Amino acid sequence: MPRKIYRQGDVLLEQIDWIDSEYLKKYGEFISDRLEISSENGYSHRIDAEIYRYGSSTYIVVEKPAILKHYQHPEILVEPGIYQLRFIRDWLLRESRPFD
Amino acid sequence: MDLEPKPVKYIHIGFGKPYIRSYHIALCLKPTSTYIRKSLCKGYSVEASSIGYVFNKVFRSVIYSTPVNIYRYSYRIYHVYIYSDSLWRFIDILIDFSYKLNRYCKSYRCIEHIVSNVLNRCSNLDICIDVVSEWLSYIDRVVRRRIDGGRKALYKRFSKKTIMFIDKLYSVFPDIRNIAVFKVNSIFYSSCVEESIDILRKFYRDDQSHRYAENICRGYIVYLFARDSIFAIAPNDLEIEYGEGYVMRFKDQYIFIDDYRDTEKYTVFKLINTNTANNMVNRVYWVSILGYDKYTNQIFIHYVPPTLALHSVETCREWLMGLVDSYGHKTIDSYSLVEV
Repeated sequence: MPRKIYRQGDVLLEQIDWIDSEYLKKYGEFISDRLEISSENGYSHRIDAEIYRYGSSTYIVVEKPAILKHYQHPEILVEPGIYQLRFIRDWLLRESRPFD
Repeated sequence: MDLEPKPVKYIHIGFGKPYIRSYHIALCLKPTSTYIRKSLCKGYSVEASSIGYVFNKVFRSVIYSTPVNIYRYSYRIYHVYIYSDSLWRFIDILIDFSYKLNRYCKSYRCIEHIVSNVLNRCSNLDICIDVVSEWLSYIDRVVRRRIDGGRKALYKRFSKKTIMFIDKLYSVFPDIRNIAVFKVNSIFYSSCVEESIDILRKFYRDDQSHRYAENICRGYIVYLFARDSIFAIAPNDLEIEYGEGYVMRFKDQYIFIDDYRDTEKYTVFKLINTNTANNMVNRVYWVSILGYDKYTNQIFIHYVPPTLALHSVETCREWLMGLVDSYGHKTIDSYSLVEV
């Protein structure tokens, strides 16, 4: 089955299958039952779902269909699943290496 | 009169193996391995994969004299010869020839053909030097012509696409014909970063400004940014000019449009900043996507790796989302993308 990827502005939710929710609940760090990420213009992307931190990534456990909201963008209906939170990348914002 | 005998010098040639060990060419006062082991010889190493076959074949066919010593050291087999100016020059020129032949030839047969031509005409070392030099200058000329051809083709492509899409760019971004240019005076890295941060802080968060500034100051390059309007950050002595066949230029830095896409959600242009002179693109500095989000009524610019210079604007957009790598290859097998 194709993996679902949702993009709302700079925020990306990528469905993953290498972690299940039980594992995440047991070993991940529970952050909140609501995701709220501020964008540069002051408005925030919001979704009502359980948020976990595991390693250096943030995961969203969507148990029943939830809506990803933002003041400026249309809403997106997110289907149940486990999603990794990512952002749009930019080559000019890459980690700069020290000079040789 | 100088009565002291001149010290005999030896050339040590350490034969390596492609992808395993480099070649080592060194000049020593002793024919034994001692000086090499103690790193007391002057020399250099050459990557074996770029010279291996040609160097071996020509060298072993031309140099009939047996080496004064052969030994193994550091995964190489060293052959030692008594120094002579012509031998030293031959090795030098042969390495250059081997390296350039690999760039010139597109097939193994071509390499074979040239090598056998060289060997047929090499009756002694001095003649061989002339033959290899002759081939070298021919290869140089052809390679230079090919490179220039590629650079001209690139210029033609970019200027043609720019002419094709410039009216669309002006209709979406009318203020691009008169953008603000912030000048950075410092030529030193740390002060350039500070100066750039001061400019960028007015538009971006501190951490973002810092990261942008660090990358901006790594080169003498103009960058475009888009917030409420489009602006540029440029080194102090580069003046903006508008003209035909390019969007804008700052001395020899020409910004072209290479691709365009318009959907119900967004309009995006692929912009390329290049070093251009004499109708030839010599270097691609950066590739970016300048866009307009129809839902939010916002403009944006995002940079993608220069390796995507010849890819479509859609592939560049996919890179931003992490769906393709820096060479445009898909990183996720199958996915369904919902975006707003």
